[in-house]
Amino acid sequence: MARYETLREDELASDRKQVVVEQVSHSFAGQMLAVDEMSFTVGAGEFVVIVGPSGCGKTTILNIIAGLMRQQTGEVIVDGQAPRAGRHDVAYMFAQDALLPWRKVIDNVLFGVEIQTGSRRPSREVRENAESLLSMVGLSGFGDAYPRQLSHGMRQRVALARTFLMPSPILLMDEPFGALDAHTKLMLEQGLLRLWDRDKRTVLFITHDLAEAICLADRVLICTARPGKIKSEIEIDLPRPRDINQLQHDPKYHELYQKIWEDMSLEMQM
Amino acid sequence: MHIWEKLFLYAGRLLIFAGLAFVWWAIVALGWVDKLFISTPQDVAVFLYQNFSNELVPNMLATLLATLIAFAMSGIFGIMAGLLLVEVPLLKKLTDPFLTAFNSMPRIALAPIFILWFGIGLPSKVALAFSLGFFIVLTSTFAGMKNIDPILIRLSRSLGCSGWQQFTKITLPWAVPSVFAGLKLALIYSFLGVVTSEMLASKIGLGQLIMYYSGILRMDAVMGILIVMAVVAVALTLIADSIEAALLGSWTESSASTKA
Repeated sequence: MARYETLREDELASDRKQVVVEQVSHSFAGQMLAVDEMSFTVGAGEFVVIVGPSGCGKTTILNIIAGLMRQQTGEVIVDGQAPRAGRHDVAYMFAQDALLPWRKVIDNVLFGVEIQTGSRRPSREVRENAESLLSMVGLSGFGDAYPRQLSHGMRQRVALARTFLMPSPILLMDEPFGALDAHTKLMLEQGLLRLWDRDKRTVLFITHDLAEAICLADRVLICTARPGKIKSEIEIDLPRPRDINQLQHDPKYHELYQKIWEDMSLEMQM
Repeated sequence: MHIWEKLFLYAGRLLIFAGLAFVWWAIVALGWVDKLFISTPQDVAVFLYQNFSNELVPNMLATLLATLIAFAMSGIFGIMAGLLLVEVPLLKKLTDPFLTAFNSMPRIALAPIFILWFGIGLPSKVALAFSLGFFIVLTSTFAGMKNIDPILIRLSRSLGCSGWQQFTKITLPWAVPSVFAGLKLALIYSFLGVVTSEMLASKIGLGQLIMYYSGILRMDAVMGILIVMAVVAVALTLIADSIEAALLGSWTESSASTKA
């Protein structure tokens, strides 16, 4: 409780912190540490990307924030409360699409809201929202298709629409585009930026792709290899809204890329 | 193109059938095998024609009735038991060795017991068939619900699905194709169980008919009844297939070829 009080003061002092991770450590049964005293915060409406090599405990930390597992030491606070699975203010998107194969695309998009509201019949407004999200991710006209009829990238776009249809202000994204080819990935990143620009939610996004991190983030956190720890953080002050294709010609983008790359390669020599 | 392919298939199958009948006819006509052992196609055809409505149809209906009752019971109780075992893991652990033991027992060995208990009528046939079908449906239901993609469980947890929501919206639909596969198998095994029971002791049924005719060395009749049984089995399978396709055509294919 005392901790909670101090956090409220912090909030008044600076921007509101929606996700606070403090000194969190976690190790899996008998193995070495997966996450080592990790600390960071995500402000309301901020897009934070954690970049790091595989096995740096990125997914572990996201699972903890989502309430799917509990940290062994340290503290995590999500919007003033301890994490809990199934909170309506947190939506979680995975690397796999996790679509229900027996549901049409539109019903998959509606699934998250359906669980949150507990009602099978979405309101007209929600339905229209779902349709417009589908067209925003370039899938208008595919509402009645089944997931098996779609390509990998299209299915992940359905998952993106499902995540954004939920009104949750906090989005956790665990390498959502990691398994896609370069072209599809660019398209989805641009789609994500469009959606984010629309309603500026708090996003904590995990990737091992540096270019992706810079394109999307307000702030990039660099994570060390196992055990995972935040090594440094870099503000990405590229103007918004961003166009990913334009960014490729922006010297600032390359400068940032270079800087983070050097940071990370130092890490790899260790 | 599509229709021609189909036509070709049916013509080909008919040709194979005719070819087999011809070989059958020829080996008897050439005197390679005595007619007493395998009869001839023409004798079988005559038998089928003459005894169709007065003998074959009533016996076939008796066998079918017992099959369908056993199948329905296998389906209902097998699915319920499967659900119960998934939902109550302790029960599964407790009963596992007994279920395995009972399921690996040669079921035909139970037939005399069932005949003693239920007499030589419909109930004993149904009991033997049920003892086969029940375990098939139970196993496939259980397996189907256990093999849920872990990512869907993760989704369910992160969305905060209640136990009931997870069961009705994820577990149950996920298990449907597997349950259907079990039901289809149980249908054929129910038929097999019923015929087996009839062969041991029965007043009516295709199995009983076969025993009777083979006892008096009427091979034309035995062969004819075998053909009727084959037709019944094929018909049952086709009906089950089309019901399955109608009910879950949308996602059975995807379960067969789930992409990583």
